[in-house]
Amino acid sequence: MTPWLADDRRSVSDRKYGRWRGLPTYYRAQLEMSLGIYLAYRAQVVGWLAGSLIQPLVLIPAWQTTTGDGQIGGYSQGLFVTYFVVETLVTFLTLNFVVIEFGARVQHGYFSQVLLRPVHPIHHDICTVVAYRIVGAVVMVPSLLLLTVVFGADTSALSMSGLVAFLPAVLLASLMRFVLEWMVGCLAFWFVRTSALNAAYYSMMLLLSGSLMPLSVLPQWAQSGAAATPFPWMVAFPVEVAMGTRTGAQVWMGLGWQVVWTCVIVLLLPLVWKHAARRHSAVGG
Amino acid sequence: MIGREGIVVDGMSKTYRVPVRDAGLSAAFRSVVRRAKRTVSAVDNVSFTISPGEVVGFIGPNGAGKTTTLKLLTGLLEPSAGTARVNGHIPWRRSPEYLGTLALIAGQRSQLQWDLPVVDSFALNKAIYRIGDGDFATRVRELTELLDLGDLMNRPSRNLSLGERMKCEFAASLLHAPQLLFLDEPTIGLDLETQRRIREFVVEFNSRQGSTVMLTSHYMADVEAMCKRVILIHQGRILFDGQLRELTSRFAAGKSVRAELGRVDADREGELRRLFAEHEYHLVGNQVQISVPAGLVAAVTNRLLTNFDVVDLTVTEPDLESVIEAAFAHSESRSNG
Repeated sequence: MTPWLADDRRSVSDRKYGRWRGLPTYYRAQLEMSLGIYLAYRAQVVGWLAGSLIQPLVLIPAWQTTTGDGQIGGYSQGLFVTYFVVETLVTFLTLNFVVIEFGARVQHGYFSQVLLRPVHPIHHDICTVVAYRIVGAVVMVPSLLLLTVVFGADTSALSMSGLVAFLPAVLLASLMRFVLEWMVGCLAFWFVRTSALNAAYYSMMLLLSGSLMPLSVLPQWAQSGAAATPFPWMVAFPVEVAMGTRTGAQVWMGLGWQVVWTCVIVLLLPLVWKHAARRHSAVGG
Repeated sequence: MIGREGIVVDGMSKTYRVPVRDAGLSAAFRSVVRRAKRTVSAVDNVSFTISPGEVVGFIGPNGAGKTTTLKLLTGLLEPSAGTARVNGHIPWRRSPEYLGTLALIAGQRSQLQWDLPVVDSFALNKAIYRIGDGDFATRVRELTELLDLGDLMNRPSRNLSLGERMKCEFAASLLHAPQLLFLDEPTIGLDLETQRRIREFVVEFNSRQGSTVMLTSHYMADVEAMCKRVILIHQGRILFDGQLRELTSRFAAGKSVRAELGRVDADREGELRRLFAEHEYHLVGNQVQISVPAGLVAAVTNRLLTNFDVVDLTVTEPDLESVIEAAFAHSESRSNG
């Protein structure tokens, strides 16, 4: 063995770790690794995706039966199918497992190794999310096409302008949901056992985001209440944009709310993380 | 080269507030309304200095504060009081520049990706620590050779034995040539051959790279093989900080005289009892072992040689375990008044 430190002028003590320096290289390597993990457990990925298809498989017939030949909240049978197909796509594009994983990491002390790296752990999670989308798309896209055909979706509501507006809406929704859930995940440092917290968060998400039903079927007061929370901006809004329910100024206003929520969370996140990382001491590992 | 000041710890303490309650269901219900807590001191006002390139054994029983100290120095924990500077950095600020200079290898934790070939974990560390292609290739080759990794590199970590995984763990952790190496029970659960190999490797790595090494271990063979200096910690406080040989001379009660006697009958046994009544001795067959205070070795040896038919005779230092036990016993008797 040659003495690395003595020979290497770019030795470890002189290596620079700027906030962004070297991140592209790290992202490429971590993304490769995360893809490798998902590909090593193909059955698990298929299982998760199959699980996410159960919801539309149950909700579509239920709402079709309820609607009959009429309309509820402006949705006919065919529009309900379109809604839940797009909603499943949006959920796939925004979903992450950060809240659940934080609990396990903190409880079992997995965070120690990650905290020792000179790279913020959020970058690891971003790569994991991207890898999930890449691997999952192979199963999700054909499944959604199948749902569209089998249940007879009314695709007349989908327009090119709606789909163009859908892209930034779903991207912002994905970013907003990721940073929000990373912040919620940090609460695991205080609570340690997070199953109750997770249950509360996912219940709110289910009820207020538009995952169980289009928000227009709710009474006006419930719609107003939901709009004051971040949840509809992460699911219902991109779906409504794609379906042309929101157009023109409504789209710009919605994108604005997404940006505001995301900025607020991004500003709060370092503060929460700083205190959360200090709490790491209390839970050991 | 910057940042090679070593480790300077000054009055560092770490306390935890932990919930406590009595046993039983009623106590569980009471704790819902009124949660009692008490303060536990894991590390209590410790101070020490470690020079760059030193290898120091950090020894103590379970719960003594060894791992807490390592966590404080690696920045995983923030102290309740006191300060520490490591190579010019405050560890718990966790600056990337500091984290990039250290490695923590814990026998019971793995940084290798469980599901993927070891070589993939190496590639990730290359990106994390920004190791150049040339350096990476050289280091992988040398570490593979030195640790005899061979075909382990292409196997998923989950398919490796504990010893194989530990060797890969060392290689992965050292790819970035850390200046600071924290080893927390690195040989725990390993077979004797792998333990020996790991010890030799750490000694080799330290002598070639000049990295500072802090080691905790319950295996005294680790400490004896790797460390000239030891810090003894007990109940969060430092009992001893010095050279290993000083530890023996300070806490060892004496030496051990072992003799193989030519013939042992009832008369000879009676003679042994008479001559060595004031010493602790054990007779098994014709082998006798006598514990002797340091200043009386010559007298006891002379008495044996004069009065018995001695076939073989050796004088040995007490083993490190006994010395450390004596040190802890000494500390407890002092603290109990």
